[in-house]
This record gives sequence, structure tokens and C-alpha cells, in this order.
Amino acid sequence: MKSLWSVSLVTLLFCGCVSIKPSHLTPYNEVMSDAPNVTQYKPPANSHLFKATLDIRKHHLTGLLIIKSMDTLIKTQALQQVTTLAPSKTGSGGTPGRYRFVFMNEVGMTFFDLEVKADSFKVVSCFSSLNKKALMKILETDFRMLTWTGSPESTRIYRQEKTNNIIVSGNAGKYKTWRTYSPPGDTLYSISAKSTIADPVIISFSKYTKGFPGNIIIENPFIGMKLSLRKLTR
Amino acid sequence: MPCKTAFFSSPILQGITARFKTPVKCRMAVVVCIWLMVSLTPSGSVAQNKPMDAGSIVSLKSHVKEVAQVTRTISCDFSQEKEMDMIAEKVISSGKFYLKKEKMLRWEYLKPFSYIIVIRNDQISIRDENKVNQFNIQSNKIFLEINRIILGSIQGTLLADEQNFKADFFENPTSWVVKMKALTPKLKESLSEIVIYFDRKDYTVSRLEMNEPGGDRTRISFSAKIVNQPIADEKFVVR
Repeated sequence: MKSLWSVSLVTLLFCGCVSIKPSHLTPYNEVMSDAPNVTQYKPPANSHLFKATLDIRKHHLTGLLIIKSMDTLIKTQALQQVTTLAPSKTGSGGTPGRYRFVFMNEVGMTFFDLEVKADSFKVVSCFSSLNKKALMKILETDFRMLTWTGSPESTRIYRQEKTNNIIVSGNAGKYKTWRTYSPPGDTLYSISAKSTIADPVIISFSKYTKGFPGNIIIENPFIGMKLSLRKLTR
Repeated sequence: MPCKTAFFSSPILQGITARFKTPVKCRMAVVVCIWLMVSLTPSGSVAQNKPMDAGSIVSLKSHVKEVAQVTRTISCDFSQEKEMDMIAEKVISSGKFYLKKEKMLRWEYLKPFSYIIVIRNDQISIRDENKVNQFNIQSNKIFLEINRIILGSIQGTLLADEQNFKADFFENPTSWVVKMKALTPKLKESLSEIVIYFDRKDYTVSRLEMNEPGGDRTRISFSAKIVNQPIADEKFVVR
């Protein structure tokens, strides 16, 4: 793993920052405050179980990922939030409440157990070979973005020329974010976000069933990490 | 006002304590409830593990070794339960297990996902959904360890692994229970203890518990065991 981080550092020096901003955008002036029933990933009210595959360069781990909401009170508030694509100056929301992310192999051994709260991030347990500060920082960004709800600050809306998709940019806390919606604005396709040059992330959602994505892919282009999730029915 | 302390935070106790107006009355009610629960629990409902004497330990080891020696094949169902007390969450999976001597094992998860691990000699093949990966077991330390622990538990060889585990022996009306504490730092990182339950009737493994340092545990129960019936080599090929 040491060599992995050395390679990452060299990549940083040679490649500079990775762009995750969607390309070919033109400002979109229509106000979309009434986008009803937007289909998008919402953090779990209780817990979600996923079949997971984690690839970090040549390393390949498979197993199960549980995303669990740990705070009933804030969870209820998060569920009541209405998602709109309306531009907002003030912004609202954030990581609602407390979430645990437990990644284990199929046989049951825990790879990592992480806690994400609005104002903190905690490594509850982690295999020593994975427990590197830089990797944990990146996972924090990934999971914070996955559980983030509400309207970003200083939002701007664009149309993407080639796809006609709607892109909403804005600031979510320290993160600059771009959300890509379907042309009618009713389905969230992806979230791109970053706070530093080292933690850019692209989260893609697909195969929605009853408003929930069956597949989620989290990519961190800077370190070449990809976490693929497929929702399991328990 | 109902009394509120951390001790009273369980939902059942909260229900009881909410009915009492003062902390003193509330505590008394809880003490009475606990006493009632303890005294009304049938003695046979919880299997009590009592330590085994030296003679029984020698006898168990010898029987387990004997059974492992005459066992050529095992096929059975398994159900696996990963318990995470800290987040009050359980992940339950189930499937089929096949073992054929000398070094052939098929560990097939059927629910809630499809995942097959086949170990044949030192070669591991994994079919994860529709994707097949093959590699040498020596190149993957995690699988090497899992293979050693699971096969060692089922074949009884783990009982003799005094370098990596300290074994304590217990018994209850249905099982011989061996609690194996990990000794090496590397092993302790992922597993603090393995508990193996041997069926008193036939000395085969009926349950396996893997306890992690953080308090999580995985319990694998084996059922519908069929021993020494032919299993085709084809079963240990993943395509």
C-alpha cells in the first residue's frame, strides 16, 4: 500500500488537478422551482444493504456495504426535505444526522466501519492495510456526498449541450458540487464534488426502481478508486 | 416526570419507567422486573456452558481427530449471520457448503446474493455474480487465513494450532464448545476469538462464531449435513 500512495503523489505532481466538472455547459435561465418528485438517491431512513466491489488500482475487494442511519430524529427531518432544483443563495442541508458505513467481505469480516456526522468523521474500525489518512479523507468525501441532502449554496443551473441534461452547480459546505439531472429534470444521474485537488468524486446512479437507484458507482479519479454498489433486497 | 438515565434507555425499560413518576419508584420497578425476568426464565432455555475437565478435553480432541480422518466428503446447508451490535444491524445470508478431501472446498452463497468460492488445491476461483476471478491462495492473505480457519475448524486441525490460538473448552447439553482466542497481533486485528460448536452426537461442527475486536460477530450454522456421500469433482470447478 505504501507504494500506492507514492504513485498517487507522483500522479498529483504530473497530472495536477482532476476535472470533474461536466463539460459543454450553457447557462439555463428557466426557473425550475416546481420540479416535482425528483427521482434521486436519498440517504436511508433506516439502512441499505449493497453488494460492493472496491477497486483501488490493482487491489480488488468484494463484499457487502451497509449504510445505516443512526439518528431517528434527524432522519425524520431529512425525509421530510423536499428536493427542488430551484437556485438558492443561502443553501440548506448537509449530511443529515449520523451515518455508519460498514464494508465487510462475504464471509463477514469487517474491512472498515466509518461514521459520518454533520461535523465529524470517525474511523470506528479498519483493516490496517486500508487505514491510511489520505484514503480515509477520500472515503469521507464519498460518503458525505452520498448522504448529503438539501439545497447547495449559490446554485447555478446549466444545460449540457450534447446530452441536454440539466446541471446544477453549487457549494455544499466546503465542497463544490455539480448534480446532473435528466433533461426533464426528474432523475438524478450523478453527483460530482470536490473540496481539494485530492478528493474529487463522481457518484453515478442508475437502474432506479421505485425511486431508488439499484446501482451506484463512486469513482475517485485522482487515486483510481472505484466503489461499485448494487442494492440487495433482504 | 419519567426518570431518564443511560441505564433506562432500552425500549422495554423505557416503557416500564415511563409509568413511574419518581426516580426511586422507577428504579424499584426495574429491579423487580429484572428479578422476575431472571426467575421466570426456564433453566433449559439458555444453554449453560461449563468448563470441561482435562479427561474430557483429551477425549474430545481425539474424537474430533478421528471423525476428521474418516470424513471424505461433507455437503450441507449453511446460514450466516453477521451481527453488528453497535449499529443494531444483522446481515443474514445462506447457501451450500461442500468439502471433499484432500483440498477441495465449495462455499456457495445463494441468498441474498450469488457468490461462489471454490478452493481446489491452492487455487481459488471466485464467481461474483457473473464475473470469475482465479488466483493462487498464497497470493491473497485474507483468503489464506479464512481458508485456514474455516477448514481448520471443520476438520478439527485448528484445535491443535497452539501457535495462533489459546483454546478453552466448555460443554453444554447439546455441544462441545471450544473458544479459541487469537494470540498473534496480525490475527487479533481481524479476529479476537473463534468459537467452534461440535455436535455431541457426531463430533461434527454445527456452528462457528467469529468474533471481531470491535464487537461484531459472524455466526455460521451448518445444517442438513451429509457425510461421505460422493460429490463429483465438477462441483469444484467454477466457470
